[in-house]
Amino acid sequence: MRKILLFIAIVSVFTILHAQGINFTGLEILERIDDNEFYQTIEYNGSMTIYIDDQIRTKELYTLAKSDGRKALVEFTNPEDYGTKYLMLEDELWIYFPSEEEVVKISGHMLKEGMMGSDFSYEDALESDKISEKYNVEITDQDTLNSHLCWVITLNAKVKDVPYYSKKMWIDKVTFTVWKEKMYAKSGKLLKEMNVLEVKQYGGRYFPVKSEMVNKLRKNSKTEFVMKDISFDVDLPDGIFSLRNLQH
Amino acid sequence: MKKIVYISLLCLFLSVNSLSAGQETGIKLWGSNYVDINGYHYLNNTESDSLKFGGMNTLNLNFHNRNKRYGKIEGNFDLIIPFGLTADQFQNLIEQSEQSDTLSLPYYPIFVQGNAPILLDIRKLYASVYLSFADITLGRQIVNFGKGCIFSPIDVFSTVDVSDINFQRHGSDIAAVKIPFSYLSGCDLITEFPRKHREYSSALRLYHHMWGFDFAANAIYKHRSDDFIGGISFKGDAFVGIYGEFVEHCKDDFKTKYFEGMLGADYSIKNTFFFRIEYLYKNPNISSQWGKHNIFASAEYMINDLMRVSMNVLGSDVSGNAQTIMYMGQFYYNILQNVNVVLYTRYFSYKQENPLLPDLEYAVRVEVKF
Repeated sequence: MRKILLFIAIVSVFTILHAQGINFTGLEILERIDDNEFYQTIEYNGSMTIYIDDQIRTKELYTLAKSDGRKALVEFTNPEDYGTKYLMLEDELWIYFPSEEEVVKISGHMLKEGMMGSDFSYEDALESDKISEKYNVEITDQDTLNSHLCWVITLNAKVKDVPYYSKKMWIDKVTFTVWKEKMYAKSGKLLKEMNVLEVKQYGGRYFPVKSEMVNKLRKNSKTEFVMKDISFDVDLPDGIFSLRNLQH
Repeated sequence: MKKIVYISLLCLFLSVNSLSAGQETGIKLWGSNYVDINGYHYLNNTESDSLKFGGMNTLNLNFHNRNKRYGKIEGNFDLIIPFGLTADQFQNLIEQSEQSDTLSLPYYPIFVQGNAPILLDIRKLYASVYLSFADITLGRQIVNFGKGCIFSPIDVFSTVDVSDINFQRHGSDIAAVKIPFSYLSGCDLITEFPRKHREYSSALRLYHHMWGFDFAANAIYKHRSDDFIGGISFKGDAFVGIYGEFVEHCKDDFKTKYFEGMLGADYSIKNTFFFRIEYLYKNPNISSQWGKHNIFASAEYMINDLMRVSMNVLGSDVSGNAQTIMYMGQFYYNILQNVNVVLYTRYFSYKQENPLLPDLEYAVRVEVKF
């Protein structure tokens, strides 16, 4: 009987320790986040609800993205922007305006600007790189966020090609969901804050499907981003991400 | 004319439905309606009534087949109902076009009541087929051939309408074959069908993207004026966005050559301030609406994502005898999800008297999209 109790106690202690993540290194946490959020290809319908002062604007979009080569094609489907498309290839961006059949090449620095007037930049919305390859990590704290036990980790860029110099993330100790993220400039200034509002399980992956972004450099605005009809690892030939297809 | 349009539309709708029998079926319809109310001020008018009013209602309708896997059939129509002085101006243009051997309007007057015409502008009505090696297009299409916002020596098909506050374009009747060489390079072959009094052209363009720039080599032949245009165009990013077109016009079996060139730059600061400047040099022997030196400058300030103000200056034949300068100020407000209000004013300064242009125009546009 004592042996059974001892076994249960040991298992319980290990389970609690595991749940609290004491045996995880920062890099392992990042790898588990990548397991959740990194994809080879993705296809989804989405919506952006932009709150500016007391006004609300909604944008509907259809997105195809591929991590290899950082390729993305976004088509807006709401009546006000119907048919407007974005093609992103690495750090290059083209916009297609259907009314005038115009393809406009956008300067690289515009990738950091808000997409269609939202608080999400093109990089925020379309970024699909593994964060474990781009940032050094340090576990700095533990916290409870909306009843989720979380690690608080600090990321510092180890490569130049990143949208934000450093980040602070609140990571769920059970599902490795990033519930909250703060993005900082090199000067330490807080640029943006993102809160994940809803997560869905796809196989072994916990993927954020509803999030809210606040750009701290804008006054009285926030954007809610919802992803639906998500398909991972669909077959997306490279020809989809071409100037030819942009004009179709 | 009306019968042809109706029959064409019926055929298109039927073929669209049969083409799109599959996963995503049917036709996507969308559009907008906008009303312009304008006050025209003739400052040097000797008549006592120097302030006149006009305006127009424009209904824009668009459609295309939802399933675009193998091709696309697309239409874009503007139904324009002008009133007041604007109706008189349109009526004058229609009469001039009927009497002229050179003037061709992009609009069809479908109904005229006194001095008030109702006009139809078929901006697009075309079918495209996407083959593995090429896209083939036939019909009326907007061909955005140049790199410039206003000036473009190679933009011979659907040139910018500078009388429109959004600098829209009108369609051209064309046949085009677009052959991709890679994802960012290819070859476009376009030929335009002759229209009454109007110059028509054929063009070949080879384009490629490298070093962050879109480059193109262009060869154009203008059939009526027997003018061959050859040259390069580019657009890219070098701290500021820069773009340009440099071409040589060759006439008389390449014995006579004239140069035309455009250079432009754009820059934005923190997604709040936007600047653009364009300059066009045109040899005076080349026939076009522009003078020898022409300039366009624009500055825009985004108050927030719903409101912006802008100032544009467009100068034609600057310091020449036919110098005309247009100053345009705009305030844009996205007042509801699908409703925009634009307040704009234009001041025209010209050396030669132009009865069609007022000195000052102030207007409001209300646009609803659906």
